[in-house]
Amino acid sequence: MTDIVRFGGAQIPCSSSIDANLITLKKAIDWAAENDVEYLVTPEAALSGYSDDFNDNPAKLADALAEIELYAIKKHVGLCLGTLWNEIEFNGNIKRNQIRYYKNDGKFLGITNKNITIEQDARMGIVNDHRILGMILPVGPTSEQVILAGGLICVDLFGTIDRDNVPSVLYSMGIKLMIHATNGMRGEWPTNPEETELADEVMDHWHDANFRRYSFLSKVPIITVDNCYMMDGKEYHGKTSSQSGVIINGRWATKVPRTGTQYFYYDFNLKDIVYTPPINTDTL
Amino acid sequence: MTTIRFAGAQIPVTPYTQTNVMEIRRAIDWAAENRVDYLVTPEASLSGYTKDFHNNHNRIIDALLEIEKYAANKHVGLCLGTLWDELDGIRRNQIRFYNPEGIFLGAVNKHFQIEYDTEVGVLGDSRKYLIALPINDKIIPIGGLICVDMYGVPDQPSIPYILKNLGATVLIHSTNGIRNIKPTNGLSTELSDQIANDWHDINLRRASFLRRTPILTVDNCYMFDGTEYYGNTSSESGVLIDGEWVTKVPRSGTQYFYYDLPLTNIAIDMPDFFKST
Repeated sequence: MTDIVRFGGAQIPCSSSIDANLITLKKAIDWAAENDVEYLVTPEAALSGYSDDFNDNPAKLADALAEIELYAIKKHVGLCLGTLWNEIEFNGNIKRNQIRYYKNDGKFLGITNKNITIEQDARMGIVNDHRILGMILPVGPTSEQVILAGGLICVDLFGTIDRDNVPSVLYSMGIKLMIHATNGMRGEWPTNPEETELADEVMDHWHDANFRRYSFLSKVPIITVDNCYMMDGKEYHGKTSSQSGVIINGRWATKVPRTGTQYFYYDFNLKDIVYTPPINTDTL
Repeated sequence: MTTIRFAGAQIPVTPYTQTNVMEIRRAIDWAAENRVDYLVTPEASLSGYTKDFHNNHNRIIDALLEIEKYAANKHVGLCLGTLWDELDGIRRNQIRFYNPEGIFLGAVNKHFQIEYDTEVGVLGDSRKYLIALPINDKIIPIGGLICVDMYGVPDQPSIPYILKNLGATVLIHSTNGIRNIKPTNGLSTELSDQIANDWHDINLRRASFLRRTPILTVDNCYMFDGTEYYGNTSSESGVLIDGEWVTKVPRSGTQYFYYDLPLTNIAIDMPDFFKST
């Protein structure tokens, strides 16, 4: 049995080019492998890019995903991979903004979809998913222990008007870790570009206050990773929309610089986050 | 008249009605000296925010009458925070609005009931409406929010957003947030206060930025339950415009402030049914 589980985060450029994103993700996986990371978290839409034309060539996106899956297996790195994706569901093919979870032996563990979609998602045909699901992540070489994690994408953590508060629902489900892949607006305030600096500052504080408050109130750690380019994938060297790192009990336990590619990891004490199944009273 | 002067009184909210009356009268004196049109007080500033406030409701009625008369004599309009037993028998946490002539303009009740409101016996009010402050031949549509109404609660609609959509051009926020209390999760009081402070601050700034509505907010300077206290208030008292504080006061003790809002930005033509009444 292992005592800790190492999660890594990759604050990386999420460009509109799948080819470029593949190279970026492989580099992040290389870093994760060198640092014995068990699960690597990427930003929102890190593979597909967050651009209106992500779906112009679904075969290319599928090939890219297969390539990353194989690469991560080879490097023995588990993934919490943010991507837009044409998901084949019960009711047909639905475009989702999702986190895809893989164990470090390549086993696909499942997905969590963005719950609260925004205007940009709608423009891309992304459908929100009202289901709020926990994700079981096996840890250690024999997978005998598991973590019940909650996946949140961007505004899912910060909330919106008239919608379920996702962190509070996940907390009620008993999750022990929040995984937050994000790609917030920055560097260009659409309603009034002249106010971009103020908007960025207000939104940065808004994000920070939410992270700290939710982790403080719930005592559930949060690992969060942002894109370091513009939301739509344009090259950008300013500050990310939100801090990437790990927050525990209302304080940042690890942080990275706010610009450019940055990697980090954090060793969670398993006793704090391991999932304890409910007692089966039939056996008592 | 091209501007209207709103003011805030960060004052002690004690469990003692008579002490609170003295505090509010002093604030009205200051407001009169400074030619304030409307003075905003913290949540429950007249009644106190205590579980036994209703034990002597006649005393609160007398206190309210005294404040109403005093403010009218001094020609100061009020946005007065108090707990109150309404005529329908329901106990409310509300802001009562009076014009400078002392005419009662209406009250807004707290929407979101927190645990302490429940202990006090106060009910949340899901109705959302505006108060019309008459000025010249126009009105200012005011949205009133009490404490957590501004910050929101999980799975409930955003009150600032709704009030803006109803047409509010100014948001008045009377508050009395928790401070200096050991959190139930076992973490430190200092961290709890810091996180709550940052949470309040960014909610106020974000609401004023996104909704393009000036906010005037006033906190109690004592503890939540009226115990004497000289630490920081739970949230900043002052005025926010477009996401930035335009006036602020020190975070401890009694503090007054005012701000002149241009009428062109916040007053609208008086609807016909108002003119006839």
